[in-house]
Amino acid sequence: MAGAEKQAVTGAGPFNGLLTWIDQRFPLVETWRKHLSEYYAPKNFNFWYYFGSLALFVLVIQIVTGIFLTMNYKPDAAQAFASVEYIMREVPWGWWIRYMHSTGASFFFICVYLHMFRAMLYGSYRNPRELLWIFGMLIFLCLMAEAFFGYLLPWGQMSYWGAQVIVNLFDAIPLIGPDLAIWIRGDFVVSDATLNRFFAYHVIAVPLALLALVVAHLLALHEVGSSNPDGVEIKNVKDPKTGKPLDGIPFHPYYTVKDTFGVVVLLIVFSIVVFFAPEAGGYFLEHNNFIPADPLKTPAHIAPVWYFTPYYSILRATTDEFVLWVLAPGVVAFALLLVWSMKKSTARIAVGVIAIVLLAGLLNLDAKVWGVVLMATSVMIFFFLPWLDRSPVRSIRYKGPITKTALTLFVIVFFVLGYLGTESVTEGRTLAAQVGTAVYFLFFFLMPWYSKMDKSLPEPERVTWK
Amino acid sequence: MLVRGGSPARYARRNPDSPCTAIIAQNRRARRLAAANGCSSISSLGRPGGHPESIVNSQSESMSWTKKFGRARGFLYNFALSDNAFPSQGFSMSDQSGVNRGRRSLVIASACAGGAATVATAVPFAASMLPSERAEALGAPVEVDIGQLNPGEKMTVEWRGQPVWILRRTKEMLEEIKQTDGKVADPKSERKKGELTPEYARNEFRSIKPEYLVVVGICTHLGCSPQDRLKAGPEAFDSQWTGGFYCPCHGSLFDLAGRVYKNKPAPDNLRVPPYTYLSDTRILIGEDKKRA
Repeated sequence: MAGAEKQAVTGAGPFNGLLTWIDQRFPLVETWRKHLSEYYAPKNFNFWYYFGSLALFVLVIQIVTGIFLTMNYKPDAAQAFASVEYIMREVPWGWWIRYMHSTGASFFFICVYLHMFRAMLYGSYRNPRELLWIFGMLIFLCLMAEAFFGYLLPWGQMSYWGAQVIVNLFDAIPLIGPDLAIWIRGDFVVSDATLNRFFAYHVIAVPLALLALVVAHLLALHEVGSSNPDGVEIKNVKDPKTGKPLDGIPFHPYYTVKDTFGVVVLLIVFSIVVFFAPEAGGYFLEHNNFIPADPLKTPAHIAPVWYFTPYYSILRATTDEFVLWVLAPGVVAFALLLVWSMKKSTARIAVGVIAIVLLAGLLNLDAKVWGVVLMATSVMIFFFLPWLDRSPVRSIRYKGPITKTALTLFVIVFFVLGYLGTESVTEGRTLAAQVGTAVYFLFFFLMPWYSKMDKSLPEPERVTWK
Repeated sequence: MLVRGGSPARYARRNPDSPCTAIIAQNRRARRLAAANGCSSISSLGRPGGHPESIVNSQSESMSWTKKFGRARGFLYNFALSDNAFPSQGFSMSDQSGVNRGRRSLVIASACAGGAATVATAVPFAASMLPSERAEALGAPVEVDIGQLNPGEKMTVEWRGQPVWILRRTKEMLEEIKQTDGKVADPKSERKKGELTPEYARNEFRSIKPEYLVVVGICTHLGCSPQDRLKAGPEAFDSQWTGGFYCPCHGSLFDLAGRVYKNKPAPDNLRVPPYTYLSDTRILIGEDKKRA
């Protein structure tokens, strides 16, 4: 038998016997080596490489605090708001656990956004890491669903009307929309039935998917190996004797120690928020959510939590004029650009047909439908980054001025849209959001061209220290 | 030794001298035995050295799937029939020719039946998420006394969990509605007639009696409840405001007949629920006049 051939575990002192016993029945040593002590990561990771492990750490915080919250929370429209107040005021340490959970939600998004930005900076999504990126994007979608479902649970005014607005987005889908919205809610309006099922999604359905995807994300990462700020493969230069990458260091102990340092810093910042500013000025916990849900009265100003606001801005920016004067000409221009750069006549015809169908839709369907379509596209477009980026190099360090400008603009626009999404609507703000929306999509849709024509620098053979 | 590579035929062509090749042409029992043994004990079963004749036989047998059904379906058939679906990976533990066709057909048929049953199981789960009988029952009509409502006042009642507004409009308000005809998107309530505006409310004031407006106070954009801006006068969103409703979520505007302003996110007028007058001061919301 294979197990019997395994060498006895050494170096674990009094536990050698126990570990050997386990290792003969379970791939303990093999797993430890493959994923930690002999997983070689590039030695030049910088600040940006903290956020993957930090996101994992926040996930643990969310799961642990979430379990304890469910012990006192009641997913019932008549009792939910009061049970949250009960946790806050009467359950010993309840306030702490609840603030950890609400702060954790925002920190999760901060970590994930920075983690994604890292991938965009250094081209971490490029071949052969496309699937790794896709798993990551699926985690991001799960996270958005998790945050959305969780936000209904306190049953405050923002919970209620936020859910009402988002579920009504599905109502915009032609034909099946209205029935689909009723099916999602389980009622004709957001009600007890909706709260109950969102609780089920939030505490079991989505977390299960999330955990499975995190495992898939890590397995995919360890299959292809980590990228690095230079965007060069450390596998290409190996020590001829040992076969180990010359620019790689074992994840454990080098990066476990580095990441532990990151966790400590995160916990300091996290604690400051939890103890001194858990509402974060209305950005982490909105003021209106301290008023119980009232199905008959919408608050004067409703906005999603900060992590959804860029997409929400895009939704609001899509007015009739925007569809007519920006989207429709945009579709025509983009179709022409595609036809111009394609060689196959069948592909050209296909582009033409799709453009005409889109154009007919743009001119006939409500702007509401297109708002929803644009909002969905603004998230889903990230999936396609590995194929949109056609630069010969991966890292921003060796990319040219056009790409650098485009990425800078994109980041600015992302923040501006995010800010506008928290504010109420005025004509000026709508115009700003429309400009932002246009830039947001141009960043992605023109990437195949500008990333290719940009003047890039040659990549180094080995990783560098900067 | 495992049999690697595509079909047994291809394998046989590549490895004419292999004992496995011989086994490909062997009788069924021997083949099955070979399969059970991972083709490792072939030499004891098969004759060493392949028969060109029998290779041709096995080739024509397995090639015919591709020929008959084309490459893609040939692959599918191969995938379904063979445990050697990813030939180049060498996943297979057995020789493909050791296939018991009758049994394989049974496996495919039961896999299809099982798959269909699994899909069918999703139906009750999905259906359990529809509104329950109780939620449907709560859609019952609501009777409202409007006797206490003074001119210019609005009251809100709950019907199907939604706010229904009853606004008693003054003469001036009715005049203001006439002025907004040019500003609203659907002045005659012609869009989605059946759904949004019952026949008896399909007039300028969108009501049975001009004095009383009855509408569902839910914006047709994304379901927020608009706020009262009943008085005419300059507002931040419209300097020539003639009274109506303002949705705080996305800035949609409605006039005092619940008609949506042009170029606003909301696509349609506020919905007029089915309602009927039981007497001069009592209305029933949620049900039309009984057809006599």
